[in-house]
Amino acid sequence: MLPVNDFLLDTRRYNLVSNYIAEYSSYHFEHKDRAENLISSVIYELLEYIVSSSNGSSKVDIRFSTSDEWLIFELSSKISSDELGRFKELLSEINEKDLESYYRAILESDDAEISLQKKMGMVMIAHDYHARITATLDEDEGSAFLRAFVRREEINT
Amino acid sequence: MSITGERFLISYDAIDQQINFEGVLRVVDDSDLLSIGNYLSEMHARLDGSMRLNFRKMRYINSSALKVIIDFLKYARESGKLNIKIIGSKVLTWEGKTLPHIKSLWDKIEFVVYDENFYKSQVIIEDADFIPLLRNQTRLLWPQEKEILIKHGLREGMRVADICCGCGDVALLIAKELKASIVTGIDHSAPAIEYAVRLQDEFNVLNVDFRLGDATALIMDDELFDFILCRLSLQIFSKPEEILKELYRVLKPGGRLYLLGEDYDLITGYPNEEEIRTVYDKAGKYGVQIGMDLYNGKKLYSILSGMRMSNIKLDYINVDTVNSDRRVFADMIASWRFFSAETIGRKLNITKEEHDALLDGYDTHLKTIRNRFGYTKWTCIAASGEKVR
Repeated sequence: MLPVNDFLLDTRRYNLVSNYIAEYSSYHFEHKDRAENLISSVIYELLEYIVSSSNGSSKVDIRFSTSDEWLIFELSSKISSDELGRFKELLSEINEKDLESYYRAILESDDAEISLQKKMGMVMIAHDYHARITATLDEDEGSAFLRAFVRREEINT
Repeated sequence: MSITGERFLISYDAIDQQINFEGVLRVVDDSDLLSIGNYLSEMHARLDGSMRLNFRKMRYINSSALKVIIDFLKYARESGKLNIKIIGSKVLTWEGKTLPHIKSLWDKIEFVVYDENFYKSQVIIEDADFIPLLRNQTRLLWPQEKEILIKHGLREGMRVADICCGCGDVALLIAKELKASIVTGIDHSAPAIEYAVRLQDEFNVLNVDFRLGDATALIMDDELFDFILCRLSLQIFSKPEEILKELYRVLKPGGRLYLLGEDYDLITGYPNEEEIRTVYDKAGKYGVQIGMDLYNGKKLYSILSGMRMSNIKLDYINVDTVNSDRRVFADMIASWRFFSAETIGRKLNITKEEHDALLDGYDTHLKTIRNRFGYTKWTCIAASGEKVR
């Protein structure tokens, strides 16, 4: 469990944590360089998203595991009700819209708002890495449990 | 003109009108993102014709930094002033996943994977079928080369790199038998690296790190290694100077660069001397046509001198039917026969007569090797130089 505030105080920690998990885990893979690059890239975007949506006083829990078919990324944290709403909206956009058109629209957008920048990382992961992104959002507890599944074969393709 | 962050460098190469992105471009701070955008816009204003964006040494990028680059590309699209070429590498996963989609923004953006077909014989050399040949070459060379490496200064405890390490057997032997502290093996062939990792597990060697990489764009800090090897590899690249520049960069001052090359002019045998010379003259000529320099051994001294290396050492490794196992020698030549006549010959569309003549020539050489009264020799040239402190 890592304090959200740590990342806000020093944004280099996003890179540090993503690379640490990726490097530590990559030895389980045949193509370890490619695996490391993929794991770090995915964790970075998920982490930056969840931290930027979290309450400053909360802690973020990060887990990375694998199954025969999947790389599984799990992150959880406490999130305000406003952010939970935005999170829900983003998930429905990723999972229900035509992802290709949606990604293209984000790339083409001139909107420099922070909300768009936040969205882009998640959409990029879903689009470029074919990640399946799901979340359990508990409005009563104000918590979010984010899961992303990336097929192992993405390492080599 | 360049822009630097804590972990990234964006610099301009005037020769290619190219912006080189290096390191880790994970930028969160708005002012840094703005600086990158402004830098790209300024370079756009200065240039005419085309602008290259080279990401080959960019290990990571985050979505915020990518958005800045996308916004710049949209700006370039609107202005229509320049042709944009994006250069990526197949080594880094993110580049293969993300960069190609940028092309959808503007059909005038050209996207190039630099290390795909970047040397003519790549498809042949990086094929898994090539591995048994590499293994036999090592079997024949290693008994002598081990002593030569010691003579050229490879010592216990050194940090060693084997660039273009192929199937990794020499890197593993250096770790095991010459007691290097750590050996980094880099090759561009995924099947070769997979094989190397399997060998490493099998031999239970812990101090070797095999990585898929591009020898012309090593993602490594400067001055890392005490001893760098590049064996039987420069000959397959059309621009060996691009590799040499990188090898020099990652070599420590006082460290040694070791090159091993072949010279088809020096292959000889008896009986059937004339037929043996004829077949290697032909094979060497076909090699040239496919982008291989199978005579580069004689050039190694000049290459090292040209790099201002000091204390240059040079030795011949003569593998012959007296000092080596005839069966292994014959297996290696049988592999050469196949690659030369079938793989290279077919790629060059040689005539049936030329193809058959090549096969006959190799068969004659094999007869000489298998004849217990016969003699034949394959010569490699080992040369090394010290990087001036």
